[in-house]
Amino acid sequence: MNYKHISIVFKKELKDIFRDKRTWIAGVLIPVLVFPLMFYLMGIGKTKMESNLQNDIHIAIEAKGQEAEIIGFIEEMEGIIVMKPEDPYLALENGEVKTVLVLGDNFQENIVNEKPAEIKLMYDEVSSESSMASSVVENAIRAYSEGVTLTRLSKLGITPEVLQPTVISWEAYVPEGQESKGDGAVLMMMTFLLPFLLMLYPVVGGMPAAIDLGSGEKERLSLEPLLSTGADRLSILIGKYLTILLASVIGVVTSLGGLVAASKISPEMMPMGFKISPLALTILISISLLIAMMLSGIMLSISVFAKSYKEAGTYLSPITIILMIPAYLTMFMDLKRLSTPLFFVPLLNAVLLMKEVLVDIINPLHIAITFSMCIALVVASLAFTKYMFSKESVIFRS
Amino acid sequence: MIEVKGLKKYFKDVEALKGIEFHVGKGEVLGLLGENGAGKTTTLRILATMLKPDGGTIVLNGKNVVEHPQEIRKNIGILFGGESGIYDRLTARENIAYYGELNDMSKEDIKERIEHLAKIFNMEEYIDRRAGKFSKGMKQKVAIARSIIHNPSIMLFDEPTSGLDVGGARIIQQFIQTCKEEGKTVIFSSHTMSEVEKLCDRVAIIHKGTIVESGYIDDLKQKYEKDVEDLFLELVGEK
Repeated sequence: MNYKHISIVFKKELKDIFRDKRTWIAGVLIPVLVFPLMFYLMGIGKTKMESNLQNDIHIAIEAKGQEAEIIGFIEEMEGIIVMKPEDPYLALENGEVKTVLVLGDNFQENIVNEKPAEIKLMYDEVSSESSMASSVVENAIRAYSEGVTLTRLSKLGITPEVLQPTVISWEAYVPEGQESKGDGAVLMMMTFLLPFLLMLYPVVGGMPAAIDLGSGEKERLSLEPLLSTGADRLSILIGKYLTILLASVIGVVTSLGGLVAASKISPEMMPMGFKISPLALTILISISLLIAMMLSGIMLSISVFAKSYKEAGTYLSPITIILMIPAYLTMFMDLKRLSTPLFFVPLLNAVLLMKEVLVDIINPLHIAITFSMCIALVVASLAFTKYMFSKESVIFRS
Repeated sequence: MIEVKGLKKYFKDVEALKGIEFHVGKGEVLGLLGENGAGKTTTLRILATMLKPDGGTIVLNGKNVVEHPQEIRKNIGILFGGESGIYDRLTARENIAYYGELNDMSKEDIKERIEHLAKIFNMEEYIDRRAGKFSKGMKQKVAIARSIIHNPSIMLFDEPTSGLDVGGARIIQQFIQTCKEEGKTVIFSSHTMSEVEKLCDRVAIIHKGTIVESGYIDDLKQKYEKDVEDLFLELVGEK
């Protein structure tokens, strides 16, 4: 191994890949833009839907010829317009009304006689506006029901508080000396999203470089001339490996940058009211780096094995799906009750540890197992890459 | 100088080279003739230390290739046919300099040598342009310059004109002639008999991993009373 040759190969490969549009697109442009664009578009959709619902909601009432008090109550409600289409269900299907309120038989009679009066809300299951409008109408019905209840209680001389023996409120417990982690929903989203990104983006960023530096050399027939130079094979390999690792790290950094940008552009869609301790941040960065190191080795091995760009792409693409599995598997795991053997499972352990430290659970045993496993895998991946690059049947596979 | 004795190579159960022997002196051009799969490329790859032999000895300029692979590589240049293996996103200068650096040349030497080679191969106009849009001929010139940036004493050519047009092939042929005049030791593998007759001092005909005949072209022609092509077809059994 020759450090000077490693540095020469590394510098050349960096120059080469950064002159390649694919590196900029996959490693920088996509990670930086994907989140801001995704959340911005989602925000536009949400705003449009909300503004549609803030306008008057058109509904129809199928009263079956009954004169019911509730009809007048709803007609007087602000934001709800009761239409009288010839066929209410056709109007619902065409989107002219968002929901159809169907009164049960003897509705008003049952109300008067203090019996349960049936009411049904018909909505269009494929229209999200219809289901949200139905919720608004449901609230109107509840308001009417509350009014009826209060009248009945008043007739009986009972105060409404009698029916509410308990008052429930929710508050997250924060142990003394600790700070709240922020909003629970945000926390849940971040404990899913951050490990997911830190697992996936080393591959997204590093894959174009890995393909170009391995199978690309074979396809353009530059590998054999390169192997005939004064540089030994290990130096060439390490130079290439470091280039892929850097591209992977850039992919992670730019994706995190994209996430922060998304929170600035669409704070309502991507809130970041969430704190990470310095220790947690150190562990997150270290684990992410180890994953990038491991994946860079695996990607380079596969790419060196492949005969062409196309073949390498076919072999490497499933890695992204494999990496998504642990992120989804751990989605509903209770972070307070994780069993130690889970931390021996490669990749899953990294995701679990990242989730733990994000909520400030610092378990030295889990940290030790996960780091040991990751380091072992990095060593194994590097040894495998070295083996692949020294194997004649792999290098000259055609 | 190249001395090959009893060279053997196996690919799994297949014996690709069955004890090949030949010798090439300083300033001599040896033509390695053989059909596809005869063992020419394997022989050249072993000489260039890309493959390890399973038997026999190879000595280049007095050094064993198995024992001193890195030193050997610094003394050889290798040129392949077909696509030139140039990096499209690097300039011609960067492509050539990369190989100079990997062969441990100083920055000053690389600069001087590139200026010299650019002049010889008429590359001055495009030396600082990226190679992506070069013609095949231009790329081939860059590939040649890259293979000799470190001024090796031994040159290996593996079917260097295959896939090239007449102009591209002419550049290679002239380059081989120059190598010979400069006293380099050259091995040249080819299918094209006219090329072999024009460029080589001696030939070695390889068939199914064995050298079936070798010698000076004129001597062989006299011995078999045939031209090189007929002689080749007779020896490899494709009459």
